[in-house]
Amino acid sequence: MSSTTEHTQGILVTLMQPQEHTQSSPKVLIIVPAYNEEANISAVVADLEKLPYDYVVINDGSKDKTPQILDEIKACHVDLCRNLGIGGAVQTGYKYALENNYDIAIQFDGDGQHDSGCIERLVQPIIDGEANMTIGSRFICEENEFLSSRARRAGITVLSNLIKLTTGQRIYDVTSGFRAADRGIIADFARSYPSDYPEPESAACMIAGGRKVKEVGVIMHERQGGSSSISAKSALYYMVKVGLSIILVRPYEKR
Amino acid sequence: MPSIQKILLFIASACFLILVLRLMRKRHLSTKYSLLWIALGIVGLLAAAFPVWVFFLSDLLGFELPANFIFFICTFFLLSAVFAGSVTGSEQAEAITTLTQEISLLKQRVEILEKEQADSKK
Repeated sequence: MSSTTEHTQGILVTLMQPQEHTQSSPKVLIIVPAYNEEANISAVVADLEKLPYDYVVINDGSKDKTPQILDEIKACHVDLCRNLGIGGAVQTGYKYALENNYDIAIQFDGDGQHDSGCIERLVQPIIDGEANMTIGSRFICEENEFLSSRARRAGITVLSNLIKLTTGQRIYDVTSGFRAADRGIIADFARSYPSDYPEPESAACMIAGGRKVKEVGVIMHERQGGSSSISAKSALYYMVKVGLSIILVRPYEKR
Repeated sequence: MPSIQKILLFIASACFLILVLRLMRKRHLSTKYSLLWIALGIVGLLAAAFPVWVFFLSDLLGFELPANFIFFICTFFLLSAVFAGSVTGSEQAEAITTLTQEISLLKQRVEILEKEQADSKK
């Protein structure tokens, strides 16, 4: 191979061995958004490679060694040429899922907080037809010791009540980025997804659109390295912006 | 019976808010950029319903006439909004430059790849 081609492959999407696409065994993609996760990403990828599912790491314009590490460990990844934030990064994953004809897509954090053993818990209800979307909740799972800071829990409670008010459904872990979605929702999110603090708004939108959204208990760990993307300062903007979006929630136009 | 100005201001503010909310629901206006205008609409509604706080602020800040105060506030608001627009415009221009460059670089690499493929088939 010429050096240009090798160089190109580093930039272009590196496709893994494609999964078998059958009725009983759906094609599943794990979307792993990652921003400056040099401390955690190789462990996360090693963990995911043990699973029978495809995955794609979306490198959201990381300024640290994340892209180099991903190349070194030959992980399946997409390098965004600009930082888009969690919304844009995850949406890239949904577009990838749509383009590559996946049946189910899972959002899985690149910082090691989510437990890969719980992925099956999220996927099964969708396969069984019980739900279009499953949200992994740290609050309805007895195995969890780490339940977020008190400030964050207070904010989550407010948003949970707001969603209950506007859609009628109670979601406990509204900010959970550990979720699974079926084909219909993959198409919706690929087309339109909130750019910042997307989790509560997107969940509310799906409920309002008549999708079956089920909450499933999952294990979440405390962040191992690096720092969280939401600071105390932005908390007020977060609440106002997300609160307003939920109040105005409108189901996606096409089904 | 409230004055005609109060009624007009109230209706105008209400219509503006409805317009902003409609555009948000149709996704023509994102939540991030709407916050400022929603605040404006709410201030308009409050000023129409309870103008006494406008007069109070005006006196407090030493304006001779409430009208002067209102013009000052409006001018300040508009300047801020336009300035914020310049900042956003700059950010978007930079983003577009980056995207143009990346797409062009990608295009060149694809052309090289295609040429190699064509060559190797011969």
